[in-house]
Amino acid sequence: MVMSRFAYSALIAIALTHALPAQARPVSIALVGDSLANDLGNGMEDIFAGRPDIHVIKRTQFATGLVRTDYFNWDATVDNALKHGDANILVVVLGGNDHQPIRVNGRRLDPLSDAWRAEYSRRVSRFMKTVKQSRAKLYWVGLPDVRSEKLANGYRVMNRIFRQQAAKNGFTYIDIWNKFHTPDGAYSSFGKSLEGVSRRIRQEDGMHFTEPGRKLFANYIARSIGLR
Amino acid sequence: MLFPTPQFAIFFFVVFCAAWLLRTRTEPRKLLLLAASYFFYGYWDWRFMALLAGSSLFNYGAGLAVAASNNEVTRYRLVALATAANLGLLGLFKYYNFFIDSLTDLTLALGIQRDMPFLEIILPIGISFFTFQGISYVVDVYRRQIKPVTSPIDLALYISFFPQLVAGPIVRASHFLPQLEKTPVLTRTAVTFGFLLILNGIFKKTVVAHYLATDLIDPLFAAPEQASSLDLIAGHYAYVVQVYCDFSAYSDIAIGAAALLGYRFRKNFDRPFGTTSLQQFWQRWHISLSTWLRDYVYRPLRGDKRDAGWRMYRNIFLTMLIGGLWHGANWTFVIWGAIHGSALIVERAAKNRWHDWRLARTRLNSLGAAAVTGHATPAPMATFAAAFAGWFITFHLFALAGVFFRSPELGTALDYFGAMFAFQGSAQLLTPFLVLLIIGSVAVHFGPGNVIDRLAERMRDWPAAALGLLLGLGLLLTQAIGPQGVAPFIYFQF
Repeated sequence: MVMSRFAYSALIAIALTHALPAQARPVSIALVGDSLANDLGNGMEDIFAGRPDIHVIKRTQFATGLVRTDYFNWDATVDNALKHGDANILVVVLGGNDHQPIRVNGRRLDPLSDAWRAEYSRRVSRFMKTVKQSRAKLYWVGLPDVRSEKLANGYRVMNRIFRQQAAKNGFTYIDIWNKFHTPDGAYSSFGKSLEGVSRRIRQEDGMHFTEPGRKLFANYIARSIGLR
Repeated sequence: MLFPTPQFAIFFFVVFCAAWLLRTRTEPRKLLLLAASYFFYGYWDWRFMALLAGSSLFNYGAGLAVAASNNEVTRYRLVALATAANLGLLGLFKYYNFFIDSLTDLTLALGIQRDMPFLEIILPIGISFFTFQGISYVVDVYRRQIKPVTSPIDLALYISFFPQLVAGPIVRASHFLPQLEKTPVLTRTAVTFGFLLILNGIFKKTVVAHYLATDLIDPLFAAPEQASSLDLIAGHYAYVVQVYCDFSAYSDIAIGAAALLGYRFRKNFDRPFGTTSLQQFWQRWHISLSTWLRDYVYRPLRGDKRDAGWRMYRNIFLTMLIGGLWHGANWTFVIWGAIHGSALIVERAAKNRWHDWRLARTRLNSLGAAAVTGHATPAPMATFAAAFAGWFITFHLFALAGVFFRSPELGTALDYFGAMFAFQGSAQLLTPFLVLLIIGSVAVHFGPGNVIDRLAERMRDWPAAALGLLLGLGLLLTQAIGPQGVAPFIYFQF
């Protein structure tokens, strides 16, 4: 779940290339973030496949987040990409890989400790301020519930941070925590697809989405931002 | 608990010391290794320890029941029942939801909307390996190749022995169980061999596989449609190197760890990228699975009939298809198996024809040459060209099929090939360092085999301090040049 500097520099080039579409379209949605953002981007591409007026741009990088800035610095990447971007809607999904210690000046901050929360809040705020340079309408998608109880506990805390910082920094926060739950409120790998039948919606890892799940995810976000 | 982590190092150090303190006390040593193996397994998810124990006990009972009967029909029924139960367990955990999801796809394609009964189950780590070991044990007892164990501890340890538990190699009972009864001997050669193998494995995993995965392969497969053709071409070569360095690293560490505890596992990889035919390739890649499939799938399919014609081709195809599906509950693995099955059939048919043609030609030439020189000689250039063509086809077929193996979904593989064969764009991720890693990793397969065995033999007389220093420095160097963090081994998912 880490990224090295080689791919980091290359990604900036890719991000810049893809941030420069040949011509602007009426709606251009940029998905920024980790593999969950990529899932959302793939889902959006699927559900908007017949809509030439909606353009989906994925600026995603697997195994990244706001904790391991030594491997991948989202602030720098987004800062560069936004200067050249033309998206009018920007959706961020980040944090899935961040349930781990933060190292600050040689000090290790244990996940979810008070010091960790303060530092993580600071990083989220800094990232949001960078993204705010964009003239796009800004959305921050919270993390979904996952199978691992340990991760889920961490995600709950992180979602509270995202919600607080979103309110302070002009983002609209979209809560998806319980959108894929069973009727009795538990995590499930299965759920009703857009076709209305039971499907596997989460992958074997208990986190990422399958194709029906990605469409479901994308559909919910599209509704939340007024595109469906 | 991943192998290249401080947790495993501490765990192994404790087990190593305790196991050698008990080297002359066979039964307590077995109990210690069994407890350590269950701790190792339970470290991931303690809930599946009961499943592992249940599977071991079941196969223990099945082995005794099969051996107790002298009636061949009863024996056959018992072994069939035990095999079905093992496969049923694997099917439930690994394939049930895949089957239901595929059925849903089919019903939706037919315009029928119907909810299917999915089960909320998690795939237990290593289940594909320990169920295959259970099957091989009961079948070997049925075939009278081994005697059943009398102690459930022995079978439980055979199935759960931690170096090979979660990702192989698939150790055979006939090879491992006799070793349990002997007093282990810790020789200098075995220690050096074990440490060198572990060091080699850690280097392949944490340096080669890790760099290729994070810098090239993972970004490419995350969004292949956004990548350039050059990156994708390099990426499909890189993936076969990654999967080799990842999986053979696990095998190396497993074999090395077992050697340090006084047990010998067979080689699981033997320079597969240096082979010049697919048949040869599968004799050198994941050898423990290939031989398992040969002994417990191909041979039962063949039965007592002559191994020729369409029946042989069908059996080859089915064996590879099952081998593909063993890797995961996904259509991408089915396609991967079907590609290799088909390719092996084509290769076998072509070889048969080529062999007939060459035999006829050699006879003719021999008659002519013998008349002049007394013996016939093959043309060296023709032999080299044939070997190169064989290597080229084998390597590229494996690399191309690997795109299906790596893709999480069929659509990803199709996107990958679509963008790769568009022949557009310049390299954005590929660096000279990555090219060097790919070429270097393939090139070493053309070198001599058993390098580590020979090196261990040569270093046998080194002073312990020098040996320790060298290995410690090797570990530090590997740690320094590799990227931080440890990704899970690819074969954990199988």
